[in-house]
Amino acid sequence: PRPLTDNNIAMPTKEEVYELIASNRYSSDILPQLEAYVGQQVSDVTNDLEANLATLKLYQLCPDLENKDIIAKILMKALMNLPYNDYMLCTHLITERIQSEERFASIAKISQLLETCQFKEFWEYCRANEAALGIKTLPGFEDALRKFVAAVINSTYQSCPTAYFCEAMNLDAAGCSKFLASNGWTEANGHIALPINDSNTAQAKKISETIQFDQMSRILSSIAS
Amino acid sequence: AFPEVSGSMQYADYYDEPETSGYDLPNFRMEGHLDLEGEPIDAEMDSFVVPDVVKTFFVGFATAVKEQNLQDIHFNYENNFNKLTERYYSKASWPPPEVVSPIVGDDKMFLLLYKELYYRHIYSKLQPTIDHRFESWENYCEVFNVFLDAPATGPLPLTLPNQWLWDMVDEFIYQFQSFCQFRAKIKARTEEEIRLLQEQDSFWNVYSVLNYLEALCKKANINTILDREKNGDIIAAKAEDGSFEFGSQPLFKMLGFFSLIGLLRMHCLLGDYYLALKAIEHVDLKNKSMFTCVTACYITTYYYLGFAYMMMRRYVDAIKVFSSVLLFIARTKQHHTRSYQFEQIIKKNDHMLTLLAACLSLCPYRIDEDVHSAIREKCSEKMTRMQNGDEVQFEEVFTHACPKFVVPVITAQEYQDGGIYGQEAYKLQLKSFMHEVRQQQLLPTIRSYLKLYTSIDIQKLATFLETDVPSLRNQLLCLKHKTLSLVWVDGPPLSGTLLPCSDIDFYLDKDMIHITDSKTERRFGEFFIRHISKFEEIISDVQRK
Repeated sequence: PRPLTDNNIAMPTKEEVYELIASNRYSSDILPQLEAYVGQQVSDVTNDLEANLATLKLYQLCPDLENKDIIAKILMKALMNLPYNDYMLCTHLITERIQSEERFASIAKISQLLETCQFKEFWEYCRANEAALGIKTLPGFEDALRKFVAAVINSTYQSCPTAYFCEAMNLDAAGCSKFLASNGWTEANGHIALPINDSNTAQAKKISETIQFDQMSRILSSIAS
Repeated sequence: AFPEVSGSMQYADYYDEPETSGYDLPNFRMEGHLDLEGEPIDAEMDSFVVPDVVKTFFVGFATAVKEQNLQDIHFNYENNFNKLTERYYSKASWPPPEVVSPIVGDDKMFLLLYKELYYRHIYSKLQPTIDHRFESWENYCEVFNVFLDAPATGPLPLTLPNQWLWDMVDEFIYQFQSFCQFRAKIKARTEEEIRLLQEQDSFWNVYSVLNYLEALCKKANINTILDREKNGDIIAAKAEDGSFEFGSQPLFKMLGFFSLIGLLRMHCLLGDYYLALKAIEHVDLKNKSMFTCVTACYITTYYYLGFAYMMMRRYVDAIKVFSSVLLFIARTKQHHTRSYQFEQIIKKNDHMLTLLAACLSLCPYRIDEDVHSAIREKCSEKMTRMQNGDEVQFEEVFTHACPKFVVPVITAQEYQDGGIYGQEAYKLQLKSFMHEVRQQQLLPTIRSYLKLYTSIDIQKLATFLETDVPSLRNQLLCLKHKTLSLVWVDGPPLSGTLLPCSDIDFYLDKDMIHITDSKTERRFGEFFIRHISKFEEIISDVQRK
């Protein structure tokens, strides 16, 4: 038997949620299931942009039913999906009336810090506003953001100062060693060697022109004659 | 409430036009000079005199519809109606339906179609009252219900030109926008109007508009039809369960298709770009035959597609889309010079050109030479300012070229406060766009410095940029992050792969930055092929003579 949600309905599966969206997208009747699904994403540490956008759209068209807790959760989940810009897509559907509230202004602030890669300031702000942002109620938040930071650093550096890395990742020395060990990264002389990928090598890309067959076919007949 | 939006009230004023403005884009409604001070027409039915030539027009038109004579219907719709409008009705409304009814023998179907034109004309040349708006809504419901209620046994005995079907859907959405704008200006509404708006909230209800469009798509089974056509299947008239496949009748197929594009537009107007792109996921953008039958449809589709990509920060995709449609317009506009749509096409062209310039400023990318020279010709100053990070210029471009977003719902509190809310939707989208612009503000300068070197010490670069090393480290990360975007490769418009989209490549090794400029070969192929074809044409023309 499936667990019950707060309003005593059976927790919907992903398939059921998508069925509801496909058949009843504009009906506020499906809100309880969509909201329950948001809660499930929080506890399962999964993310479903499409379903969450559908939820926000219903709030947009039906302001009486808007649930600010759910909206805040959706936005925080969106941030956990960086580098994808889910957060931006969500804000397009949330009126300024809501976004100007302090709670949402805080979330906007950390989005800003993340987008401009001010990671040290980001972690500081999170520490100072932990309760307001509800970070403790979001399993996997720190891990997800660390994953994002590591990816950006990996795409920019071939070797990066350890101290800088720890600051950006909000890791102490022990945590850092653990992270490096679990990812197979090595450290030497105060610098971390990062795996080489397409982004952190500056290869001279020569974008040469390829002529497609259907472009040529237009003139092949005249060349042949 | 919008501290980030700069003091650009002048642009906000431009945006906040009178409700009946024809400036919405892209909207190819019958344009004319608006009589902004005009009195709402309240024609006395009995005293309405219909000139003989107009009577003949009505009879001919109604006959053509009844006999399903597509060519005559088209001629009456595009030519005669416009000519008579110019001659008799450029400042007055057409004869009201009650007057026309006896002339056409109370032909109900024709009257529904006529009323569509009647109200469209009022919106275009005059100022619709709240009653006109409600009546027009009811008429659209009746017309759409004729289509939706068509029995499953066989085709509907009706044929209409594609241009009219497109205009109908286009106008439907336009009138919805106009209504939202009208309703959002609570301050300007009379008490009676406010009461009616709150009571009759089913009229021009956003849900109903969306549901009608979805229903028309479903009736034609348009997504399945599009998929099957992509596989080369022919659509049979009988569906699997023996009922009539409405998508096999051109009327329904095109109406369904135009409704799909209508959904693309509606979702953009509501700021839901994800859903907008999802709406057209079955449309094969490589196969242009469906669009090009109505030019306005093609331009509208690509405009909203490009705009959605831009708002989703998929600049490379937006650039490709805008370039593609701008080339199309450049090559075909000589065919449209005498059409009433020509002015509109040129206006849309200019708007998309400036949006393209904005995207290129945020994401340098190589584009077609013809398009590039068009930008240099028409908006090089604007582009230079944007490339230098001029925020006011970005705002101006956005304001002039963006769609007329809608505020879909007015809350009870807002009715009570009695303010003006029409711009809230636009301001929200502008704010998001400007966020992006600001977050990328420092990047063009860094990019230009990096282009000068193959390697440079981070401290040295920090000194050039008059900043400190920690800040510069953040900005370099930001440059990497912002140039990683979703790029469409294949499949539905929504899909994409995360790819680096920068024109320069760099990495940091300890404190040294290493840079490579990616070289793009000059493209000659398309140019030569095009000219070879043209030359062939000339030669065969000469040989024939």
